[in-house]
Amino acid sequence: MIELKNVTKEFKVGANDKVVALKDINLHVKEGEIVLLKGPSGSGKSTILSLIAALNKPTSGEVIVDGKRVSKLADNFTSLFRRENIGFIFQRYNLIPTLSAKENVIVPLIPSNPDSAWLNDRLKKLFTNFSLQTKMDVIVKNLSGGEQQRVAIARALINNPSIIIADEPTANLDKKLSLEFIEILKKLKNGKNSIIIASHDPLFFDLDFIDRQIDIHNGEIS
Amino acid sequence: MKSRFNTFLFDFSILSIFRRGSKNIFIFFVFTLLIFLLSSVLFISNSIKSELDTTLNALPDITVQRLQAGRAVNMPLSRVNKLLAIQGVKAVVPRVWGYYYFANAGVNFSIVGIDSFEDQYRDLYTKLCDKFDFDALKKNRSMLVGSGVKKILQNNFYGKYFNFIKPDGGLVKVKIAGVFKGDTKLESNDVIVLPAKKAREIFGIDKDKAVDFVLRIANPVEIPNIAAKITALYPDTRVITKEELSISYQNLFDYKGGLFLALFVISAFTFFMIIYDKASGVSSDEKREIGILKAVGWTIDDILKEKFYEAFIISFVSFVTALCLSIFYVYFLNAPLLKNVFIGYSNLKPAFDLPFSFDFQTFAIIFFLTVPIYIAATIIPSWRVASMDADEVMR
Amino acid sequence: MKLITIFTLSFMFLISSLICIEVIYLNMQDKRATEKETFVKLIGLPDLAISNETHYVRHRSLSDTFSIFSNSPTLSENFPSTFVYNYSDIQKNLPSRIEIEK
Repeated sequence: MIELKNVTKEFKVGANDKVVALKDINLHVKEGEIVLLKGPSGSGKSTILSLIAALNKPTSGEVIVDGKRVSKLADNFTSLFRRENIGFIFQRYNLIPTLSAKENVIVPLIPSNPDSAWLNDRLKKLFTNFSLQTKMDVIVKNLSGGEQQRVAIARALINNPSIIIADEPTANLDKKLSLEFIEILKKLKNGKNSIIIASHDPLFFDLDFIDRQIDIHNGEIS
Repeated sequence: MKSRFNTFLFDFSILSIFRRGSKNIFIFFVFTLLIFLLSSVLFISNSIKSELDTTLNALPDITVQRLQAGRAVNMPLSRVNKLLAIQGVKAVVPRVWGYYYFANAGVNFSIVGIDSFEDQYRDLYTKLCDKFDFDALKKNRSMLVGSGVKKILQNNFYGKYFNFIKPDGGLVKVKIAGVFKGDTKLESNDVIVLPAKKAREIFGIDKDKAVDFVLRIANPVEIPNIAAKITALYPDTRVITKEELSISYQNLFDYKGGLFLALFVISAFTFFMIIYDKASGVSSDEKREIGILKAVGWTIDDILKEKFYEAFIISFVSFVTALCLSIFYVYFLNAPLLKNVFIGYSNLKPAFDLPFSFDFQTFAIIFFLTVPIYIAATIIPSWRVASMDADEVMR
Repeated sequence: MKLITIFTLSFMFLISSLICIEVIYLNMQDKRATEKETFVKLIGLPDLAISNETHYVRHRSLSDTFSIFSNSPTLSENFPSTFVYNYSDIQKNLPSRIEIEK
């Protein structure tokens, strides 16, 4: 369960100026819910996602995820929180270009020193699910856009997160790949994982498996 | 989560090293070269010192030289009795030795005249020489030479004997009775040992003079006292004790000047350039990577651990490789180019068979001056980046 | 563990063991100290026959000020020997200072 209470986020620009990305946001996402954040570029969608994933701290207000006040956690604890609970699919994938697909997918789990047998098993399942079995050892920068996105999704799922976050997932894809992504999302819905998508792509607007759509304009929920 | 060693993290570190291959290879080579040069020079100087130390005890307790107008001049033998009269002096041995310049080859031989070619010393010479003709030695007409001398003479067509040129122009023919063993090369290479009588002939030194005196003292503790007494007795002498020789050996290489200063300055400069480059910040690629790692759930500790492994592996492998190469270079190959710095350009090719000497402190110093500093220079900027919000970094 | 990790660790292990082998081998060489000591006892002269470009480098512990200037009044270096080996302490024990008075 995710809750944002009176959250305001301001970014400093230059010495004295600041940009208000979010103004007094209140948001509630239930367990197992799939939520779409709609809004034009610069409306604050990505900022909300960063706050939920504890990549940022709000200027005022609270962010509570699964009972934890993540906005108040110390740096090392937010990282642990992300490792255990969040699967983030970034807009530009943020893969490490010089590593192979397999190595990129294991990255989130490296510090927790998982069991090799379990890990290999999990990797096999994920890569088969995303039809990437033959691309396991290919260096990521040599993969196509669609393949890179699937690797990014696999990385987000490797740790079985309870919250999956996707930031403009179809921004760099053509229609065919966008539809493929939507199919993958459909399969992820299982009533236990919350999925939050931020997008201004109209493809998402009329999907039936999305439980709720939230409009965001100029840092405010309309 | 198991408490065993995290092989995934270690794998990741090693992969990271090879991913930024060219830069890391360059750092590896520069490090290795620096440490190789430094440690080779240190090995050589430590070995020379250790060789000197092994023979220190065999040196005379006191050597007395006579100085006239600042120059060393010959000492009258009449002084022997007065020196013997000093309490504590067991023996006073007048010596005849000096340098003979062999013009054809442009080299100096050290000639030492001794009186002990009698039968009782046969075992002594058996120990020191490979094969020699003892009878020829006894007859006062031959000499024992070091291997370097033998070679030079052979190159100048002197096979079995040599003609010394006297001060008055006459010649002294001396047969070569034997060559000193290869094991004593570092001490005997340019030395010629012959009967004192012959030495006087060659140098033109009168029968009643000696080059210097060598004293044997009964009780070593008394040496400084006796030295003071000798100086008081003969103010024109310079008295050199074994202790002073030992101190002189320790200061063989002046670290404040010459070769060593040049070497250290260049090494330090190169090394600190690398450190400065590392410590001045992380490249944008590496910054982005740290941001990604943080975003997917790596804590600052994990990131620093990974950077530590990277830096440690590079610097440790460089250090160990350099050390290994250096030992091989100095002790197995006899330091081909570097030895010319210590040997000079004499035509008499000295040996460079140095004994193995490992001074743990010196290498600990080199290790702690390089490896931890490099590791710190790598970790600190990474820590700065890792402490920032992941979001900022990834942009 | 990846192949490259195994390779790196083996390399480190190999180099370290090479060093150990070298050190053990060199330590096993016969300590021929007694022969050297016998020789030095025979001739009674200090310093090694390592550099004999000039007298004062060859027997630096016994040389006097004039042997340094023996070739010419100018203090010419016999590079690299005099660059490496220092004048003996025994020589340095004759301090002198010339003061320039106005």
